[in-house]
Amino acid sequence: METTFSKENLVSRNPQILFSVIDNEVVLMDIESDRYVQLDSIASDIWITLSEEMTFGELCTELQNKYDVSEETCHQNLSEFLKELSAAGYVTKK
Amino acid sequence: MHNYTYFIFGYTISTNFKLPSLTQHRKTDNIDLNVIFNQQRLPECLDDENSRHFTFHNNTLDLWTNNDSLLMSYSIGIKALIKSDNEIFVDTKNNLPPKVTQHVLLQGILGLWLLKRGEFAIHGCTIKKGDSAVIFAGVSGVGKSTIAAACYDLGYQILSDDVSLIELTPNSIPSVIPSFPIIKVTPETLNKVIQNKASNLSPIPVIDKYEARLGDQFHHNKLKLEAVYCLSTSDKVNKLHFEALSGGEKFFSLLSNTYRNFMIDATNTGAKHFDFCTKLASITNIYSITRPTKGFYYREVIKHTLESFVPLD
Repeated sequence: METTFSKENLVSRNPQILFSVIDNEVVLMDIESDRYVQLDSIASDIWITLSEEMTFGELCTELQNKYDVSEETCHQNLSEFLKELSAAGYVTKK
Repeated sequence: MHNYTYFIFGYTISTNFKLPSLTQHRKTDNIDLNVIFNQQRLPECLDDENSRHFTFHNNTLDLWTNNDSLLMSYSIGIKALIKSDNEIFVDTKNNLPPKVTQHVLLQGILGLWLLKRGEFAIHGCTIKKGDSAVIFAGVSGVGKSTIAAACYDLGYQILSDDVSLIELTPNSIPSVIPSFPIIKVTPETLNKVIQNKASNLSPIPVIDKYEARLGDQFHHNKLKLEAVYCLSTSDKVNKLHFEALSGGEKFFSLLSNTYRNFMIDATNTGAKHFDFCTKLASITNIYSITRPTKGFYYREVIKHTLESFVPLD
């Protein structure tokens, strides 16, 4: 399981995961496991922002521009969220 | 072999089995599907290296799938093999009443055929409202059939009593395709709900239901889908509770109310189904209606949905 993300890590969505945006909420589907996940509003925003491969640092910067949050808090919360998504196979980290 | 032609779920279907409750279709060319009864012996199962086996409904229904075919076997004595888009072979026991065979064909077998083609229906009844249609969906026992029966008794036009096939046109306007002009009710619903049309209902043996032909109350043409009402029950409410769903809740309500959703994996249509549900969720009004677990509330549901489009709380 991923332990932490550094600013230089490249993060991207797993292209095998289907997703759709309904009323600004993201629903994910993993065809392999037949599993569905509904993301809350902030998680949905993160997923939508991650439209192409980018560094963890770039993603943090984009989110800080939208939300009133310190770099340290953003880094910590985003790292935990991406750890979960990565463990589930929804995003990849390089 | 004499063939009979019917128009069901928008398809012209030819079969050598005379459906006892449907009128034959005038058009007999451009057949979309041939359903051939008792002309060839069907296998007991599919057991090649690519096959998978599923059982449903407390082991009363077996389903085998492989790369080419779907084989279903009902414990009451009906087997169906779907090998291609336009042909289904069916085996029945000689002593099976025709109405039972008809029931299994129209719902179980054609339901699976539609799923295999990547077409999806909502498990619920569709009632005409103005120039549009509304669907009442929900699990067995929640009251959607009661609502269908009450609407039938009150004279509403009905597109489907149980399986509501939805078409998403290229410009994404959802429409409901009429199914077939039969309504089925349970004995309890017949006794408690049907006031005016009890004499139209006749028993279906084996499955313990009654059926009636809809006649002029069957709406033959597809209608724009206005709303989906998802019914549920709760011990925590003492009156009807309406709620407009949004976001992911809309998707999950459609997922859980898709007809034969337990067969999506077996038919490898998961990705298509996801696409369908998410598109439909994005463009359709979907509401939940929660009623108290005990009691009949169909009159209130009809009043607040069909008589007035904006539900009250």
